[in-house]
Amino acid sequence: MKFIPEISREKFWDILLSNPKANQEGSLVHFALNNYRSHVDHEIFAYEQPYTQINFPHEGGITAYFSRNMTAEDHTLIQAFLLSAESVAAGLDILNTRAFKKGDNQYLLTVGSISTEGNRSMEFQGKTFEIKYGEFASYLKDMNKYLQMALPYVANDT
Amino acid sequence: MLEKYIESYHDGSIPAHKDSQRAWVKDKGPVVESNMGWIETYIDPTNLRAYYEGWVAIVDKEKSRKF
Repeated sequence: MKFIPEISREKFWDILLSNPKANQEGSLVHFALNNYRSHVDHEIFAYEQPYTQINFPHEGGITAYFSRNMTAEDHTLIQAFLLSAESVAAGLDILNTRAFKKGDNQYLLTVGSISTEGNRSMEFQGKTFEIKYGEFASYLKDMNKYLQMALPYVANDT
Repeated sequence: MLEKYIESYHDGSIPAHKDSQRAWVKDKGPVVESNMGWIETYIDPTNLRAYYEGWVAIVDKEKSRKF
């Protein structure tokens, strides 16, 4: 189910732009409005497919986990690869991955991490899987910076 | 728990993430509780991939007594 604002698109943005920091260079509000507005302007108010439900693109939905050019077979293969013994042995886990189809026999799998040491190319059922670590590294670096600062103050293991 | 967070975010290690979650469930009845990492899987169509979240919760002792 998707909720769409009852107010008009113009009013919606007027409210956000009325924030005192909307025009303040360097503020988070200014950054978000400038960088994300064009990406979400249509989606927020759209009630046609694929913008109404989270689902595979080939089933008429929207998702940020996969590229939009994949078929049901692609998804089956990617899942089989990520749950295979080879993947597990390589330290992969489906939980922090996203998947993109780069060509007929080529997929890109991204892994949420700071380090890119796990980068590699793997073969599975005649297809090439490029494994690329380091996705969302900038956010995770900030997390680890502040977690390191919190560490001296922990009371116990939990 | 924080050390396991740090390890899992740095290496992209899900075993380290799972260890952090093992520590989290051992903290019984905390007044201040927090958790973060690749936790919820609701927005993946296969429900296998997680999105990152972090949260802190504080017990309202007055309200809890009423319940």
